[in-house]
Amino acid sequence: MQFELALTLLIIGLAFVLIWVPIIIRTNRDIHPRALFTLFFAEMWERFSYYGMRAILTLYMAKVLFIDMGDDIARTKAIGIYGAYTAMVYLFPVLGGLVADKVFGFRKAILWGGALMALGHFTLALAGIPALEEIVLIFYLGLSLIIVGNGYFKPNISSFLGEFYAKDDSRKDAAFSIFYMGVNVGSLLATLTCGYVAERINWHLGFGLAGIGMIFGLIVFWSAIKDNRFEDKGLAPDPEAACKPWFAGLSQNNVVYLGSLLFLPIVIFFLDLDTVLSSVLSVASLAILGYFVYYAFTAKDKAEGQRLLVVAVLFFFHAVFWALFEQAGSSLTLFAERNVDRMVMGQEIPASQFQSLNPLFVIIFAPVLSWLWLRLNKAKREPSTPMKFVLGLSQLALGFVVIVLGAKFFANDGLVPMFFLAICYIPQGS
Amino acid sequence: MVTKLSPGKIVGFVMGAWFLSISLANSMAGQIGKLTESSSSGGGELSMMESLNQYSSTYLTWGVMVVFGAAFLLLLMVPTLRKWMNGIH
Repeated sequence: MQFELALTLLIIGLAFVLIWVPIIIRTNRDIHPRALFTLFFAEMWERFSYYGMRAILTLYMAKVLFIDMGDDIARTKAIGIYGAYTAMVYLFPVLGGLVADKVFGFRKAILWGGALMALGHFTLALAGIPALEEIVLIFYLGLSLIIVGNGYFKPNISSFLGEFYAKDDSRKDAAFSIFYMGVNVGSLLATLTCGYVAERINWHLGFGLAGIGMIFGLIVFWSAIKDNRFEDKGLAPDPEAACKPWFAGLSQNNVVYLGSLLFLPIVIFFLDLDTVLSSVLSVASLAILGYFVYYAFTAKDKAEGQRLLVVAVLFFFHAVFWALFEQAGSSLTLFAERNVDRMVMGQEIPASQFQSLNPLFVIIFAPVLSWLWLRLNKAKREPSTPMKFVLGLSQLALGFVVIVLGAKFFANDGLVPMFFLAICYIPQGS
Repeated sequence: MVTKLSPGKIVGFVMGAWFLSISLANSMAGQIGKLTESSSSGGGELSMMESLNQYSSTYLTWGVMVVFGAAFLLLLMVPTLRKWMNGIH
C-alpha cells in the first residue's frame, strides 16, 4: 500500500486520542459521577460533527459551491457566509438555554438540538447528489438546521453537567476541565478525519461523516437516559403544563418545535446577507453597552455599577480578540490553501488539517496553563482578569507577527513555509 | 468571571450579552477576512505574489497592529479596571 501522509496524520491523531482519553477516564473514574463520562462522549461526538463540518466549510464554498462565480468572488462569499454562520451559532444558545429552563428541561433540549444538527449535516451531505448540487438553498438549509440545533444542544449540555455537582462542590472545576477535554478531542479528530475525507475523497462524504458523528453523540446520550444514568436530573420543569394548549391552541412544546422551524428562513436570510447581520449585531451591541453604562451610572450600589462597567469594557476587547482569532477557520484556511507550501516528503497536507493544530495545542497547553494559574493563585500572584485579556491579545498578535514575517522574508514564489503557519497556532492555542 | 461581575438582578441578561460579543466578533471576522481578498480586482485573478501581499498586509494591519494596539490600550486601563472590580479578581 502506498504511503499517504494525510492519512498518516489522521492515524497519529487517532492513536493520540486512544491513549489520552482512557488515561483521563481511568484516573478520574472513582472521583466523579458517571454522568460526567456520558456527557464527555456525547459532547465529544457533537463537537466532532460541528468542527468536522466547520473545517471543510470555507474550502467547500470557495472551491466547489461558488466556484462558477470566479475564484475571487467565491472566496469572498465563503468568508462572509462563514462569518455569518459562526456569528449565529453563538446567538442561538441564548434562546436554547431559555427554552430548556422554562419548557423542555435539559434532556429534551439536548435531544431536540442534536436531532436538528444531525439533520443539518445530512442535508449538506445530500447536496452531493448531482441533481441537487446546484441548489444553494439546500446548502443554506443544512447550515441553518445546524445553527438552530446547536442553540439547543451546546449551552444545555454544559449546564446539565453542572446539575450533577453541588454549587460549592470542589470537584466542579475539574469536571469541566475534563468535559472541555472532550470538546477538544472531538475537534482534533474531526478536523483530521473530515478534512481528509472531504478533500481527498468527496466533500459530501465529509459532511456525511460529521452527521454520523452527531448520531453517535445522540446514541450515547439516549442510551444513558434509557439506563437511567441521569437519575432525576434534566427533566422538564413542568411536563404537564408544557403539553397543555398554551398559545393559539398549541402547547408550549409545540410552540417551541414550530418556532424552531420558523427561525430557519430567518437564518437563511442572514446567511446570504452577512453584511446586514454585521450591522444588526453592531447596533444591538451598542444598545446593550449603552444600557450597561446607563445602569452603571444610575445604580444605587456604586461598586455594582463599576463592576458592570468592567464587563462593558471587556465586552469590546473580547470581541476584538475573537474577531481575529476566528480568522483560523476562514481566511487563514484559504491562506493555507493558496499561499502555504504544504509539501512534505513529496506529498501535500490538506489545508483543512491545519485547523487541527488549535485543538492539539489546547489539549497540550490547557493543563499546563491551569496548573500555572493555580500555582500563581496560591502565591497570590495570579493575573487579574483584565490582565489575562492583555496576555491573550498579545499572544494572538504574536501569532500574526509570525505569519507576516514568514510572508515577508521567507516566502518562495509566493509560498510561505508551513512551519510559520504551524507556529502561529501555538500562541493561539494557549 | 462575567457572572461574578454582573449585578444579581440582571446576571442572565449580561451572560446573554457576553454571547453577543462573540457573535459580533465572528460576524466582524467575516468582514475583516474579506479584506484578504482583493478589493480592487477588476475581475482579474491575483497572482500568487499579489495574493500573498494581500494576506500579509491585512494580517499586519488587523492581526498585528490593531490587536497589539488593543492589548496596549487595555494594559493602560488595567489599574482602573482593577479598582472598579471592587475586590473581585
